[in-house]
This record gives sequence, structure tokens and C-alpha cells, in this order.
Amino acid sequence: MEKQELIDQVNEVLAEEFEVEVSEITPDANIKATLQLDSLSLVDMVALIESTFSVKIQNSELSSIQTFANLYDFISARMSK
Amino acid sequence: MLENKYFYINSSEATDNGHSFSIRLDANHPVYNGHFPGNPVSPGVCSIEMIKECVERLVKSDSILVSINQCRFINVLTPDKGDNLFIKVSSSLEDSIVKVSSTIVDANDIVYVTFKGEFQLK
Amino acid sequence: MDIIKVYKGEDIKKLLNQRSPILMVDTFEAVNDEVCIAGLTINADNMFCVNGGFKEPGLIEHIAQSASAFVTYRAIQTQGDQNPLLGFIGEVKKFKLQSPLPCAGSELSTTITIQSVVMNITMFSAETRVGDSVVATCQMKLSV
Repeated sequence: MEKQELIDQVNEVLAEEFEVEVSEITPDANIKATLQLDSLSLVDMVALIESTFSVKIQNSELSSIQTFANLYDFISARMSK
Repeated sequence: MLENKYFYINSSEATDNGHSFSIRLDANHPVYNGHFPGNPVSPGVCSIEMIKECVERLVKSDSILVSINQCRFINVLTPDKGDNLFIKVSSSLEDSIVKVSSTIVDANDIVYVTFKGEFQLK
Repeated sequence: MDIIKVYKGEDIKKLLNQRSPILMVDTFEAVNDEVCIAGLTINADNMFCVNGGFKEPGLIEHIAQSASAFVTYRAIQTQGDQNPLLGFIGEVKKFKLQSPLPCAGSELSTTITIQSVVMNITMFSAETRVGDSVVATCQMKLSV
């Protein structure tokens, strides 16, 4: 999957699930702040990404995923394995 | 089931988007012997039942909780915080289903529970 | 399906902190790492029984405790024997009552499927049956 195609798909599923405009999702924006995630909805985000892209996000890796750019890189790295 | 045993309704008043019930919890209710021994915590399911019993007072009918879209327990409720709570309910009736949006808050606007669900009137 | 272990009677207290009158699980069986089956025979004196009818909060509490028992069971499997973890319902989603509420004497059987564990929060789906009929399904998050 092309990187841009992946970015668009990530933005689309997140925007729909967390009811934000896709335009609000910019690569350097903080995920928790933009999607207004608390500890409960963070689990929804992880589960959504894991099921949509069939990747596994370990708890230890979560702290390294702060911005959307981190998320795109994480998914594309896992998907190419 | 819980009114006048687990909690008491002090008063209720209409608000611009529904009703607000002033309630208090009974810290001596036996449920606290088991939830949890030496560490009384108000069970989340009892908060859901309190919302239901307030709704039943509004619609003046028994009902059954048939669906919960989302119910979140934002802060842990304990009986010692139970003196001055408010159950805010806004509802709409469609056929025999009451759609309810509700929150349980205290006088300082700390939110304990948010609830969106549906009750089937009996 | 290898049934790892079955907890009954007093053993249930190794998995749960709740005690009478709100202990709402009396059997527990781990099916595998992600799935367990928990049961409850509804006694007429159950605190959530009214005139012999078991009420919604009892059902939801039974589901939550089934998952809480499983979270403790999994912790014991990975970190060794320990006291039951204190589980709180964080969120209930998509709860659907799918048949009339069971009455006293009925045996509830609830299947819990773990979906995701993030930090101290476990997200799971649940299906509760009485015999062959599905009583309720839902998704919950338990914080420990």
C-alpha cells in the first residue's frame, strides 16, 4: 500500500470513529489532543488501528506514538514485515 | 428496586433540557459489605439503575433497560461523596421506547457517570 | 479446546474481590488466553432479584465480574499467584437485551472474549446465555 494511501485511510477511519474533521488530522499534531482521547477511548483507537491494518501495537510501543506521523510510520513499518 | 434503600430522591426540577434529580446515597446499604469489604465503592450498575428509576418517575411507568449505546464511569463514586449528587436526565419518547441521555454529577460539577441508552416501557 | 482450569464455590473468591450480597459469579472456566466462560445460578434472594425476576443491573454486574475474574486469572497465569485485582467498569457499550430477563433459578452462562489490553484497561465483548437463548450481548472496558 502506497504511503499516501495509508495516510488517507488512517485519517478517514480515525476521523469517523472519533468524530473530527479529516482536516484537523495533520502529521505533526498530537493524537490524544486532536482526537481528545482519554484512557478509555485510547483503547478504542488502538483496537481500531490493530483491526483495520492487522498490526499489533504493544503497550511498550504506545509511548513512542505521539503524533500522527509517528502512527503512519509505525503502521507502514509493521505492514511491510 | 433501589429507591429508598440504596439512594433517596430529595427533589427534582425541570431544567432547560430535561430534569435534574437531587439525590443522596445511603452509606449503610448492605451492598457496601461486598463492594468491597473495607473499601466501599458505589457499583456502576447501581448508578445505571438509579438513572432508570429517575426516568421511570418522569414517564410514570415501569420499564426495562433494553440497550446502552454508551455508559462511561468517569470518576469512582463512593458513598462518602453521596450526600449531594444530581442525576440529570433528558429523554424523548418514541412509541414505547424512551431514549435517554443522562449524567450523574456532584455540586462541584464533577462528572461520575455519562449514559446514553434506551428503556422499553412496560 | 483445552479447558485450563475450572473455579467453583469458594475458589471463585480467588479471582474476585466482590463478596455477598453482590458476588455475581459462581463458576469460572478459562477456555484459552482470550476466551473464558463464567456462570451464575440466580438465587431468589439475589440482591438484584425482584419478585423472582432477575434485573438488568444484576446481569451487567455478572458480565463485568466474569471479565474481572478473567483479568485476575490471566495475571495469575503470567505473574503467579496473587490477590484478586480490583476491577471497575470503565465503560459499557452496545449493550443489547435480546430476550426477556431471566428468572430466579435460571443458570446464566457468559462468554467473555478479550479484544484489547492497553495499560490497565481491558476491552472485551460478552455474550450471556440461558440455555440456548442469548439474553444479552455487550462490549465493556474494565479498568484494574
